[in-house]
Amino acid sequence: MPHPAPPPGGGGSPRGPGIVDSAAGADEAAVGPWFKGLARPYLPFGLVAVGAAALGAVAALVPPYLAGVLVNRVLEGHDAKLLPLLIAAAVAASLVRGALSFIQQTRSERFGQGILQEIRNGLYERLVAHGFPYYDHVHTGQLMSRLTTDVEWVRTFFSNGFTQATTFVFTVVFVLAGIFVASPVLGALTLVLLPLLFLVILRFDRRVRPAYREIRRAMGRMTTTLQEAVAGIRVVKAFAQEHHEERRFEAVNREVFDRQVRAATLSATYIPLMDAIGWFLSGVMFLVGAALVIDHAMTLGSLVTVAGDFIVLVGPIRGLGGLVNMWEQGVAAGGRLVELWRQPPEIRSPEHPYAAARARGEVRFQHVGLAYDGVEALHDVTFHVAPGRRVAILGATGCGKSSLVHLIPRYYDVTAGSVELDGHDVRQWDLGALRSQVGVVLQESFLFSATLTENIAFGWPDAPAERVADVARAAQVDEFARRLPEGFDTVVGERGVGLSGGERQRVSIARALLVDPPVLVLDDATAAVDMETEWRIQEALSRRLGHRTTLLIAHRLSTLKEADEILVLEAGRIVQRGNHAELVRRDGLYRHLYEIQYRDRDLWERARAAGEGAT
Amino acid sequence: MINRIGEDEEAVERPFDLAMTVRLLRFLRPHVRYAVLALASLVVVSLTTLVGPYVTKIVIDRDILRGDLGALWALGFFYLVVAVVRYLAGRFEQRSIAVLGQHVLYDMRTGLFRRIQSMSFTFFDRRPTGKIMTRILNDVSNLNQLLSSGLVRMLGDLFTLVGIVVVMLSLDTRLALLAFVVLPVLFLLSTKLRRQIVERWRRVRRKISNINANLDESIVGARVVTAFHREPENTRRFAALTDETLGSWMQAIRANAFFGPAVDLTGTFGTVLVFWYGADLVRTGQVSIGLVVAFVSYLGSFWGPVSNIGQFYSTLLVAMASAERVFEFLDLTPEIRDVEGAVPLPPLKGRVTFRHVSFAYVPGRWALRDVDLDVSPGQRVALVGPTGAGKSSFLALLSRFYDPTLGQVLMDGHDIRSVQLDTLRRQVAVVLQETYIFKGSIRDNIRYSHPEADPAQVEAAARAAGAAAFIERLPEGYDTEVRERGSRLSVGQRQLIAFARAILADPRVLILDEATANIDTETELLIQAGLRTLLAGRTSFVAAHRLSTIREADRILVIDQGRIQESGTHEELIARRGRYYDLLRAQFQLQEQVGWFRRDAVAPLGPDGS
Repeated sequence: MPHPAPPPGGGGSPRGPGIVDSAAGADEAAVGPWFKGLARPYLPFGLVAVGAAALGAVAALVPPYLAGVLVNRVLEGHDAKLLPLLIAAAVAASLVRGALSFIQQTRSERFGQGILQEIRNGLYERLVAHGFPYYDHVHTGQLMSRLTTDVEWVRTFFSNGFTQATTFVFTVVFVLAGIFVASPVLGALTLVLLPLLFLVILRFDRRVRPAYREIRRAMGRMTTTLQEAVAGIRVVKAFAQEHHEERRFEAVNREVFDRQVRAATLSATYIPLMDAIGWFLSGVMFLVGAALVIDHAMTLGSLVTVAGDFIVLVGPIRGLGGLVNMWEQGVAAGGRLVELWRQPPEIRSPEHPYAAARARGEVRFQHVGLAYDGVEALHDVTFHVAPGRRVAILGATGCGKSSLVHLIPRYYDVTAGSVELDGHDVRQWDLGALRSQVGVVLQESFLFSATLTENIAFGWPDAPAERVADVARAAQVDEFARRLPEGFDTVVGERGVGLSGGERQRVSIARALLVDPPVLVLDDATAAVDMETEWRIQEALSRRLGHRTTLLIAHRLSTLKEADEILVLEAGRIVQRGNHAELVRRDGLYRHLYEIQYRDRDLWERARAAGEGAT
Repeated sequence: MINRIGEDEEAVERPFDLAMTVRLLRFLRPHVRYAVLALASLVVVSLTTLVGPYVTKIVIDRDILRGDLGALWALGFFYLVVAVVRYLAGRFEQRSIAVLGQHVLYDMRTGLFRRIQSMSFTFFDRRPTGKIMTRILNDVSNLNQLLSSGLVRMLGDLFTLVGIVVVMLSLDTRLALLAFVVLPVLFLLSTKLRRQIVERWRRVRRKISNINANLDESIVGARVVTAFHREPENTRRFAALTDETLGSWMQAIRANAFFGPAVDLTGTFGTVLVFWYGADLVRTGQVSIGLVVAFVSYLGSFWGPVSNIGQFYSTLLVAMASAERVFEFLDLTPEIRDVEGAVPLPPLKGRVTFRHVSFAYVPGRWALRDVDLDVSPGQRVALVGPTGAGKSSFLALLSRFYDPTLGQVLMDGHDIRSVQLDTLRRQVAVVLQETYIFKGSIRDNIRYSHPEADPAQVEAAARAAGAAAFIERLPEGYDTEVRERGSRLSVGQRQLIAFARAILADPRVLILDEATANIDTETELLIQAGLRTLLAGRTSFVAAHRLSTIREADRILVIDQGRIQESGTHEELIARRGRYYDLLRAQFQLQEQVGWFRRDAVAPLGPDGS
């Protein structure tokens, strides 16, 4: 019995997900074992799906068979008694087929989803285990495309590819067998004609894939152009470059148009061709069958059966191109992912780590050297900070200040010498324990798309509300939080209310204060804050800093002049050290900077004096 | 990870709106020939679909039952011809639809882009970049589905459906009416059940976009995660998220997997009915076997069109929501635009006049009040005053980013509202506090203000701005690729690029919002030097924070509460001992007092010196 074609699935389209960039660093030999290991726990789902697919392929032969019997015995043979039986059988077959198809679809998706989840969670765990060295080199867009597109290809590989491939094999084998049983001649004919359709499909797939890649690239360019024109609108308008931007946008827009039309032209060449060939072949089959019936080589019922079988066969064959694509993309994506999966984090806890609940806060650098990618950032740095002391670090952009403080919580490992906290080399500390001893206000204050409160409580999600409120006050967050639409419950970050650089820095300070670390590092923490707010923060902090070791990086000498010790860095070396009074007296970089910075002040003093003289 | 996305999504569907649909259809008008071509070829394709089963009937009834072998050859040839026609028509159909759709997409995107570009700052102040982009990219694509494939295919499917119904009725009315019993069920499945499936997939997509947003933030914020040792907590939260996703995905798949069998069963019932009654009719000789077989075949062709029409309905609702958003943007009128009969601004000498200018962003809340000022060409003006005093508003009026609420701003005696905007902005350059860096080379970034500039000019501008030294130290010099996020440039270096940009534009009037950020001393010196070159020989307005910048001004305006409180040179104002004097005194007193390790914290003086 012919039946309606199954509807297109709402989920993954046969073309699969968006962006593909094969080539790049795939390790395809490792994919097989990796996939096997991932799939093992979920294999029962996969096997049930394959079983259902096999039985489903058999069940698909039932309706055409029944239609054939009906034509032979009921319509031609006028055996009316058989009719109710055939009808009951047809309905039953449809129910069985439906149940099998349901089982196959849900189990194979469960199979793929299990693996997908395993990959996602595993990759996430590995990604967050990586530290600064990794993220210095990572390209967010590329990594995201692996985590989204590649992961989706692997899911498609298991959810759809795996069962579609088995269904394909079973269907072709069983249906061909069915046709052969009904009529060996038509079976042989099918065997000859079908490869023709195969070839067209595969060829189409090869040609259309690069065309789609071109579309994605052009779309990417258009998105970038658009993004810049919007995000940079102030500059666009300031220089009256609207027409320039329009031309740029229209050019990429036109390119997208051209690529789309090119791909559509390809599709428009091949898809109707496949359709017409399929249509023509089923017609030829029918006519040859009709000739056989006239010759009494087969019955009319068998012809109806074969015609029905043929329809069953055409569906999976049409999906063949997509299947091949799915397979190739799945393996390629797997190759890229396995690389991410196997990459160990550069910085790990040692096997027998040292840990203390709360450190005293003694920091010691001994002949520390540090090089990134062979470029030296620090050279023979030695100093000691007793618990509760305050050290300031001064130097030009790129002199190694941040690198130096990043060594204490082991964001990087030294390449020479050692860094100690409480007399233990930081490489002997348990990484988690070490990092919770050191609160760092990073130069770039990143906010997550979460409420202000959640951002402050980032290091201590269960912090009591009073504590959060207290540090928010100290860091002058409440001063601007009150102006936000929902106060501390306002969602900030990329997807929320945008905060100014100074406001972000204040949140960042509150975040570090909340965890109350014995060692506090302020890396240019108030660069974007106005002087009065800075003063208020310092005022609130002065009481809190008392009992902890503090390392401070700042440009303005006035803010660091009371430090117990000031280290002046130049090109990765400590060139001067001492307190403010000592350093100002000595000839050197510090005094040079002091003179420049206090020039404005001198100007003022002189102007004031002159003004006073005038009156 | 902590984040909250997908909670404030925009409406995905809207009820059908005729006026909006008519307006959408207008986008088809310039490309109507493609629509006609597509429709015509669709009709041909559906006709060939109708032919198949009918030929089956003829073969069975006439040739097989009569044993007429010769006629089969003719039919074979006929099949071939129809197949070729079907191929050609299908080709035309698909290509025309695609070209039509792409034309509409192109037009809409270009239209939206132009409209957005022409909007003034107030428009951008309130909208995140992502939201604006979604309209141009996603909403337009949603409309495309409706306007090209959706509409044309729907008409084609309607034609096919009517064709099948007509053919069946004419073959045998009784059998046809019986077969039509399944039609309502099919329609119900394709609308009701499908809507449920679409809804479930939407939920899955939302969950996935949550996961992706999470991943993105985990990568961009990786350093903070490391610093606060949030790895275990974040991994736990992420796993909870993937769990949720798995759950909703399986729900969607179950609905999906139920759909196919339900349609199949309905089809089976229809077929069974036809056979049941058909067997009786064949037995009594009222219809032929071929007719019954053909009928079942036609019944099988019902599903495609019915399903597509159901899908069209979903597309239509989604498109209504998108259309509303697209039209909202297209209907905007920019607040700042050339007036009727605007004339080009002649080359400026640089005289700037404010005539009783008052300005409010929001009615009633004055940012500037009755500012009256005359600046002669080449004068250097520094604006000082506390945050929120009105300095930025003052600067924004100069290049006509906003229009004054009362009064006039004149350049060389021309009201800037009466001249063409681009001729004004080419001669009045602005350097903002935060420098936007476009993706591309440093050269292109400098050249942004003057795209036709040659390399020598770019390098000269960079030298004048004091940017050449650091650029030439970069491995690829002026060809070094930079981009907005994750760019390797420091705040100071970005400033210098902005200076070079402005120098290259060579404006007569320069507006500068001096950066407040603390920059290391060496860079600071570079910036001071660059600034001097930048200001030389032009009328300039600087919102200044550094005394060295302020002191060199020909004229200092002390602005507070939207008014010019004092005006004069540094010496004059110091001697006067008014607001300016107090402001400076407070600032230096504060500077004395800032310090992270002060033991004696004393409250600083307020900006008014009290």
